Amino acid sequence: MKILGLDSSGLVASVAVVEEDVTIAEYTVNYKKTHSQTLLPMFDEIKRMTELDLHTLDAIAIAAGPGSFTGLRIGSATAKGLGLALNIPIIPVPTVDALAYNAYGCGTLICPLMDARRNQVYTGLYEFQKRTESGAGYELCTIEKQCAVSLAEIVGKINELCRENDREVLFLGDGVAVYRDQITALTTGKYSFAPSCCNRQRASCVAALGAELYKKGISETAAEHAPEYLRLSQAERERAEHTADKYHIREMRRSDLEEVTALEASCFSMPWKYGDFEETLTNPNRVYLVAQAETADIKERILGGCMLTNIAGEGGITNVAVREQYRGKKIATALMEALLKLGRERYGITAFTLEVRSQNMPARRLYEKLGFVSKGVRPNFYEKPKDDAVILWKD
Amino acid sequence: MMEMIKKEDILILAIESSCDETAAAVVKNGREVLSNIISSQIELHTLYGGVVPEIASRKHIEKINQVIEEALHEANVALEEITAIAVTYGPGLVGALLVGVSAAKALSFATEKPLIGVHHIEGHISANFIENKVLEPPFVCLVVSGGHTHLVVVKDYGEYEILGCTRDDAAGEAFDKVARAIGLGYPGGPKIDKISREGNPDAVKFPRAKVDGSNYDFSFSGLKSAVLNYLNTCEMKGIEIHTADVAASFQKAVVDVLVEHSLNAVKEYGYDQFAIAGGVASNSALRTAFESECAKRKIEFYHPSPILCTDNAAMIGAAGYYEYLKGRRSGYDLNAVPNLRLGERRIV
Repeated sequence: MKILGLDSSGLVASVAVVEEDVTIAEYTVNYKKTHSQTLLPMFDEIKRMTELDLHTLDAIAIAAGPGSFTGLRIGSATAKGLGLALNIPIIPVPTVDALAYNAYGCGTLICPLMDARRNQVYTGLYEFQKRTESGAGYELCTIEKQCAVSLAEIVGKINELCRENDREVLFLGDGVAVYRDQITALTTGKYSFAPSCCNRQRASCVAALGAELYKKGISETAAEHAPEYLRLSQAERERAEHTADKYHIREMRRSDLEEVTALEASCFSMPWKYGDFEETLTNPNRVYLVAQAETADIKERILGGCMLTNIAGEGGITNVAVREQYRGKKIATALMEALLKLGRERYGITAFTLEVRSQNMPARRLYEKLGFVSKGVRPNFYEKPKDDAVILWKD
Repeated sequence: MMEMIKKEDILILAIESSCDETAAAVVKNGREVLSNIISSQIELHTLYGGVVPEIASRKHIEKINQVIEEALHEANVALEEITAIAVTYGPGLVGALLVGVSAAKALSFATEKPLIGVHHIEGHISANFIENKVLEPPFVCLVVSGGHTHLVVVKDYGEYEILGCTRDDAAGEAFDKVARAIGLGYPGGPKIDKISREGNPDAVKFPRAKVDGSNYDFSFSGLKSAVLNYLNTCEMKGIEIHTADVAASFQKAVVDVLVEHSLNAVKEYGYDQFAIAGGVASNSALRTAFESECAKRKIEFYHPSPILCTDNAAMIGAAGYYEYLKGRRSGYDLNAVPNLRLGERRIV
């Protein structure tokens, strides 16, 4: 399988052609010219130099974000144009994962850092685990999914892991240059910085990781592909803040069913369906609360929702969902508080329980703040992706 | 009915993404539109009272392939049959332009078809060639849109002389700002056009701005301020504001200046043809005024139909065709140029 790798997510522009375990060509430039001026001429040079017939390409692996919004789009639009003309699929590779792949086989924790401005970094936390079969190499495993957070937040997590498990961490990416002093000051455990040969985006890594993702069935058509920004535009963010300030919480009505079903589908990989919510309307032991925005001029007025089921005096909480752009604004907290109050008053519930994906840290923090405590784990309870369920109770 | 495509026909696949419309078209021999697909984002931007560049760019990337595929499909033309690929590379919003430019370059690279960077305003002007088969340069053209107000002599295909332009707000921008002030909302042009039909254009006397030392430059910020002052004064004195009258009077002030400057230029430079182009060119009062004034002065008047006045790719295909004939080609390093001037070329 012959894969074109593209990365224009950061300051680096990088193009590579990789066939199985051979990098036929790689061209990486870290220079002030815009990607619009560099990316395609670089590919043109590769094509000429390696006498590449474009029609022998099987797929395009692209660093699909996060990164510079404009940089991502230059890469994406290039990939989409090539994909359309050559009729080949696009493999969207998470940018931060691809950066981590630079440190293949490294025994330490791996923390890529990209400067995301606004006092944040695009980052994540990874390690390579040896596959059981000899000769099968290592697998990139995600400890912390790629995200936009402050440096202090990610280093805090690293410090905890390094302390508990006696680990060491390798930092890489353009964020290192920006935050080197702070990293040195904040990191309590052992750490090191990757050298110049592998501390920036490389399209050969994007292509190699892309090949692994492709084997797992991850690819999309050129038409479907769009970057994953991890962030809203400024205008949307400000608007969401404004909207999230003004909402009220009430019980779901029949007229909400479409919107609630859409909300559910946007938040969960195995969502409840329309009929499930419709049933709730007539079930005396169930109640679904919604947070409804008071701003009139938005299409989707339901910002979030959650479900309570009364099971013989115990309250089972499910379907806690908040639209992506309104998260982090305490809407889920307000919904949960209202739901607990309603449960106590209407059903006389004294003990509440819920299950949460073990990887879903924002949700776990929220429930802990509300007084929920962990009472057990159901291993591999969740699918798409597989995850343990943490069982929480509040008395 | 199937369009017959002959071997010698020149088919341009054109792409336009300079502002808030994602568009692609297939144009045959510069004047025949085989398809003209426009995906508008206007509803999305209405929420914000104007075009938000980052949101526009995000939408472009989501839609660009669908729009191109639909254009080819509707034209019943395979990508391999296309002669060349034309794309708007300026002026416009840089992030928005880059989506079209990057996609067009990749298409050109993968198909080994020539790439032609096209100036957005030259596209607007060339929209006139599509429906007016008899129109040929030279002629005078007024380009009026949300971002541009230019008075231009089209000396030959792809050859322009700028006679004048706005010193401050574009005409369309003034429509948007005044529409917001009188509570009509975004987009202002069509809304003012509509409500003005019920108003008296002579109800309020707004100034017709002259620019010192230049017969053909425009200025609309003074007019906009005059409208705002009028509204303030009415409010302070407790005079009831008749929105339709204010809109009609403002519109007339804009139209008067545009007509006077344009037709003076036609006369002074000795031409007998005149055309309008750009989003504001679909304003009904502007068209009516030009129709009657041109008839009086025995000037042939041309204008595109509204669908070709708004941002679209068919016009880029028309302009791209004449660039193609002149042998102008762009390289794979073609970049978006947000402030590209008319007549300026940054093409290899």
